[in-house]
Amino acid sequence: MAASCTLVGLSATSGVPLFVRHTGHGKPPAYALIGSLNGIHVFGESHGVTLCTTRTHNANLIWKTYHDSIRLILIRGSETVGDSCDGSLLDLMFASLVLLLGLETLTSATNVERLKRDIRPCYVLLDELLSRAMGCEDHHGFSHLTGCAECLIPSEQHNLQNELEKFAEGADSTYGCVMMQGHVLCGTRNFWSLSHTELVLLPLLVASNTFTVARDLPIYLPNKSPNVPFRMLVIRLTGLISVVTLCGPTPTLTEMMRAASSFWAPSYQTLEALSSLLPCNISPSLLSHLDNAIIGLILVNYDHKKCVSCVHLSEESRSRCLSVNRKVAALRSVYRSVVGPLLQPPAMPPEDFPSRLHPDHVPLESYVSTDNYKVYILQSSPYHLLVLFPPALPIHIARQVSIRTLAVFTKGKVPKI
Amino acid sequence: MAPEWPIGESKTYQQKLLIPGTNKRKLFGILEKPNLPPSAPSVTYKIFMFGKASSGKTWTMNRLSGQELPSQHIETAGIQCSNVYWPMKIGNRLILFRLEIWDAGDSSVKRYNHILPACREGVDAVLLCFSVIDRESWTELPRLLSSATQPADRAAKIAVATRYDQFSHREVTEAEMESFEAVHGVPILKLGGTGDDHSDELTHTAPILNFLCKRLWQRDQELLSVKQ
Repeated sequence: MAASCTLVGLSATSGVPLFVRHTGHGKPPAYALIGSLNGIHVFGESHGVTLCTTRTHNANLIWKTYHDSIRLILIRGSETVGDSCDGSLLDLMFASLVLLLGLETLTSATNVERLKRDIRPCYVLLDELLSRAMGCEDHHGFSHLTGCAECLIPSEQHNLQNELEKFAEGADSTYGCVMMQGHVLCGTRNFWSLSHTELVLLPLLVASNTFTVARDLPIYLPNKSPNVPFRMLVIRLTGLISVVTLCGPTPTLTEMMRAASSFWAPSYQTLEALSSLLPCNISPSLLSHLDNAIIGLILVNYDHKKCVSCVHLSEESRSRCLSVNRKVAALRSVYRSVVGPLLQPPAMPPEDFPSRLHPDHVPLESYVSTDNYKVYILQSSPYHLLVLFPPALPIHIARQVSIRTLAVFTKGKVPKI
Repeated sequence: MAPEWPIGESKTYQQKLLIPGTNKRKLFGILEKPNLPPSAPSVTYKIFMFGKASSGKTWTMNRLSGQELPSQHIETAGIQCSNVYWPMKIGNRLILFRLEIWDAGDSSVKRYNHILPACREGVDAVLLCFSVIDRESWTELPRLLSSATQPADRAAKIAVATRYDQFSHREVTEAEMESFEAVHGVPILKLGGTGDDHSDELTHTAPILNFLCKRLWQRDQELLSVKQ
């Protein structure tokens, strides 16, 4: 069954299409079709009905209007059923528009042609989110589902953290982070005070450009500062590692490039050594404590807004039936079906959440067993741990291994997320 | 008058730009540079890509730096910079040229007034881009030429014609381009897709980089001789 995912953006007041982004099989919908999709929504409104979701025999649609001015429609042409995660995905996509345009420009635009032109730089982010939603190859990542920044757990965290704080201070900035290939290595204290949305989108924006050495991007933080821009300065220190700071009008990009070369030069060896963390994302010392049966995992800390994932475990073992792409797909589909419907992540906005299964009982654990894999899910506030196992492993063993694994990450003198 | 040193490319050291074992050029971070003998001096030139939206600025920048070429047009947000390292032999000396290429998206330039001044400051050369399949970007070229830099910069000006391989859609004739070069004294570099042969982009891009480095070096010599 051919899957596809389309995002349509319309002006809510006039119904004029602003953009269409499409990934996957087939062509994007025709202009006329988009017009009728909007027409259906408007018809509903005129009868006092707000259209939320629709299912046809080969597609799922979800509508959402923001600030009475921008309407987003997500169309999934496939067998996957839309769910509350799609609602959050649309929120992320709207936030991507705010990130690059600012709320004011987005919602009170009078010139539609100008707005269409201004929205074009956002396509990079929208396309990435659509690719993740579709499960495209090489678009691994779980931050759009967990609402937390995708991180790495290096073995020695302290030194890099201090250096970053000093560097950010020198650049007159309090929000800064060091990133490696889309993952956050460390962030200043204020960086972690950013909202869930901001912590998901900023790394995506940084990772979207892999061919430049320095960038100066005006951005609007969707929650903290939707109308006053910051300049996001990204400097690529080594082939894989970049340092990001949110600054005001100073320093200029040229000054920043010079400052970064001299400040980070002494740390070059340390930075180069960090590339050994990929592709597992977890330091070798922590990895050595993990059970051999584990073939993938996601650990989320909602209070710290961090998550870490690893789908490159036990590559050599007998469980070669699942490729990396399929492991990612398995973990994503289990996350969507369990976290939210059954286990409620405490930090995500609760408004759209369906009510919990049993109001009197709090689900703590869950598992999914299929013919290709088993996943065990543990909830232990503020953590969620999902562990992927080969299908033959008995579930009670999976449970014990998962409990031990959570202890490895949360107890003792280990760098924690 | 400064003596004319012969300036040529250095094929042996071009190999140092590649990821070992491949034909692809390495992306050097700001803390890194190609492994050339420490005695080889390094010179940096700032180059600004100027042209209307979709004229091929980002494509050209990626082509020069040997990075993956964008398959569809997505407008650039803010300013982005690439470092292109290129070893040249001047006289007998090996010199490492570092071309710092600045590229800014059209809509960002219009919305934020810090972007254009930051790009123009201290610029050594301006690459004026136009697309041969977009007549409007060609007719804009003379205006771009005059507004690209302040006269005080004495920046070298070079025009870049992009999408040159798409001859069936071409809207600018060769004769027009030749006459432009003659009238304004601005050379036009013709760039287009190199087809499916991605295996040796360095060989395809070398002549362009050699041309750029020579032009920048000549400008330096001219400025020095004016000072004397």
